[in-house]
Amino acid sequence: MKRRNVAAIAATLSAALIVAGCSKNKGDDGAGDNGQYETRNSLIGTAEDSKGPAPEMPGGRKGGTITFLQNNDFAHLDPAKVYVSTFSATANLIYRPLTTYKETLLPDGSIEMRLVGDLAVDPGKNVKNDCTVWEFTLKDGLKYEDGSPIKAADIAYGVARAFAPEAAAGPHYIQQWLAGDKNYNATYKGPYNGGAKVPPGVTVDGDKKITFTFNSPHCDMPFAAAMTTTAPVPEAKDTKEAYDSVPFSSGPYKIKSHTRGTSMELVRNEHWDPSTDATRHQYPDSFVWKFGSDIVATTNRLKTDEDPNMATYAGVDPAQSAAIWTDPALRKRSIAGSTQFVWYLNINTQRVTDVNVRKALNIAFDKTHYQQLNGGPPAGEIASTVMSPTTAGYKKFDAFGVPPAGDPEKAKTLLGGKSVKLTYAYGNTPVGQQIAAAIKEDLAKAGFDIELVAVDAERYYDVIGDKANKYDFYISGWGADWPLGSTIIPPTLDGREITDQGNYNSAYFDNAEVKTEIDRIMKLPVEQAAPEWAKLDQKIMTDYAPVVPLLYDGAFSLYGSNIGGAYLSKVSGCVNPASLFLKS
Amino acid sequence: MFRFLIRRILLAVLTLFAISVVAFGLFFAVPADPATTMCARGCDQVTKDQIHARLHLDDPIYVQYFDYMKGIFVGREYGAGDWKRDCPAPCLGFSFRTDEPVMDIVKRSLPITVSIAIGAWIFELLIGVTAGVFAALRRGTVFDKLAISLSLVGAAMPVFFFAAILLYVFVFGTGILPFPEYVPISKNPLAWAGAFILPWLSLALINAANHSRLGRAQMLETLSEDFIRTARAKGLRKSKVSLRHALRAAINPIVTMAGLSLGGLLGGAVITESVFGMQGLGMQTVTAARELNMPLVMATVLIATVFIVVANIVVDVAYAALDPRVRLS
Repeated sequence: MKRRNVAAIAATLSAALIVAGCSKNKGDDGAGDNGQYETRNSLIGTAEDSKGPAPEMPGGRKGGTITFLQNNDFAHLDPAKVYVSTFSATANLIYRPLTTYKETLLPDGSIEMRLVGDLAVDPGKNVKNDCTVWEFTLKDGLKYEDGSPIKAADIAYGVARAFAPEAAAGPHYIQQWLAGDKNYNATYKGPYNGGAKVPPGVTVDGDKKITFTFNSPHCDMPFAAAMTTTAPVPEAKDTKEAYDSVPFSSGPYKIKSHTRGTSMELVRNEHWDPSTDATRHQYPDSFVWKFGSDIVATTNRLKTDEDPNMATYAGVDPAQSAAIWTDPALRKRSIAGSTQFVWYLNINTQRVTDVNVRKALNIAFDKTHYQQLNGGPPAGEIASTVMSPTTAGYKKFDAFGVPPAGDPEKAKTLLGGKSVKLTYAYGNTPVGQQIAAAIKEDLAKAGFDIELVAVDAERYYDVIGDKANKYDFYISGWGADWPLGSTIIPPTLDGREITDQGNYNSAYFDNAEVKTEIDRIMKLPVEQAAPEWAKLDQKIMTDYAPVVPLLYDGAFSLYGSNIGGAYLSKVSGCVNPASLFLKS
Repeated sequence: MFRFLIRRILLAVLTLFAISVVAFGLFFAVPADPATTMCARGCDQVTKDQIHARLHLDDPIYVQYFDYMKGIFVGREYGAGDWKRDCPAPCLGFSFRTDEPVMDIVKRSLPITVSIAIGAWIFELLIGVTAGVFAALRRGTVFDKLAISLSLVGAAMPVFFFAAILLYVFVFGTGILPFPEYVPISKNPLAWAGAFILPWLSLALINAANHSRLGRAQMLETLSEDFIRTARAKGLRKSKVSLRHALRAAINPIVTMAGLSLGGLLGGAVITESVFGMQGLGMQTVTAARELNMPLVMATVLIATVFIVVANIVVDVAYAALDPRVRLS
């Protein structure tokens, strides 16, 4: 998943399909004494878990139309191009990948999440037990919106399409694993212009079986298969660029109309069989998306409950979030909680080589001030770990044992009373300026002398992603593509990922011990890997402190009073439309 | 007259050409690669190169500019192989963000912008000019003072604030009106007008302030002229003197301002469109600029320029029609 930008770039770039495990099954592995791992019962579900129908939502009933308000139209609905959480959440109504996440609402209000088979009967078979060959068998009775059967060859064709340069906007995981190369389409460029309909490394056996063979182990394949890359596309229905507006349905809803930039209407797909689907419902008769409503208008319309059948993926207008947060009546009609994103202060370890200075920054930083300047509690919870609480195996710890507001005196002691001069770069926005001033003032109490450098907000990530940048620390966000440390720690803290430009490891952290540990964990089955990532998280923070975790990004949005079944999906970090119904 | 028109049209074409060159050049001056926004995380150089090749971003800038302009006049082809697409003239390219034809985006945004602009313009002229003229004719009265005060308030009022007040009063507070949602005039004229009444009022009441202040000042100046006194001395009715003689002489600066105001409104009333959640040309321009969506930026800039240039020509022609002293040649 992408870094999260301060403004609209987030909407376009932040990818999704992250999960979160939220059942709080305390299972102390003895690795730490100030926290426990919060894992789900079982990260990966069974064939039994993959069977439909999905358990009814409490009070769920059929009928009516739910209207979603949204600023911009979905840039993409083509399964080869979808990579943004709200696009995925909507696409989830229209088509089905090989695997998916089953979120079960528990009586205590928490959510249990498991990866289950969606089109496949289970989350995949690790044929050689070394994660190099993955086999998926399709369920019986799967049909498209025209009643024709869904075949394994259509999934292969869908994956093949993702190799096309025209589909570069989508995730690249499976293509890169199949090609065994980051430059995945240097030779095979998809099924167009005479290219093979089945990509290299994929084999189809009859109508039901599809196998992926990789050169190296990829134990995360069941999670990558939950991305829309594995959704079926029948070759005869491939309308190329037009497919991006009206994809062919294999899910509970099909597109009745889609007027770009104006509105989209989904109606029931009568050929979808709930007994084949373990996660989706088909409560409303239809969904209507209305585009063009900005965050202020959306907030006001939902706040006044103008139409009680309305919902949105958008957050609450930041200017009104504090007031809405403290209004009990409105809070009842809201979803709130952590998403997969985490905000960090990245310390440029190429320049700040003294680990005690990095630790002192962690100790002195006033995270409450940062939270307040970002809109208070709705902006997110104070963070202390690299991994978000939505990650499997997440372990709550604080490597420095300081209060959220920091401890400047303790930091001063660590610095030996000397003054340390550092440069802080920030995106030049009103909020960015306020945060910069606060950081300068707060860190001065610990003896830091901070020089502030404003950077053009549009170029901010290019600047901090440049290995040769001249700044000592700066803020960025990151969210994982699936709920494992493998999509957080390697992309952001593995020194081998560092290039001259466009770095996500913007702390430029390159440590031999950590790299060895990453290699070891990557070869483990995911269930074993999950707590190991959390241990590595703790080790990195305790021994090397390359970042200061600031906030676990918060989602906070409203919905109409007649909407039932709303919860914050740990998969997408927004409301899950597939569970919604109208109460009356 | 004919020579004047030809000259002005040639000048307009030159202006459009200059603006298109500047807009195209500015896009290339931005140190960001559009391929980055079109390619997901982990994008490799091969894929980026393929995107560059597909969009011809590696061609020299003058070649790209020439191809773009050629597309407008004779159309062009995009992509290659199975993904080849025709883009008939006037081709404005394809959106970098959504890959849809920019012409389609313009076709759905323009009616919204035109609806807002024309309605707001009519309202602002009706309210502004009428108030200004009557304030001048009744100088010193309560009406005059009220008109002056209100126009001062209007001139000082930011449109985002006034539009928000109207929304709170008529939509969220009282529910008298539903939240504005665009309906094409061809589909339901009443619903169309209902959707635009608040945007019209927001813009009109604020812009009317300028017309009323200018109208009043011009009328007062004209009313003190000798020819008005002469007309009155000849025994003409007061209303005839005011409307036929004074207003006609005072109208030229008002027409200038009205023409330019319409041109500006047609270029896109960004803030108004934003507050009322309408995806007009203004909103499209802002979003496109933020996303480095160059084909859409070019299209919206060119269209806004056309409106302003044409408004200027119309103003000049209207001058001659209204004031015989103006010689177009």
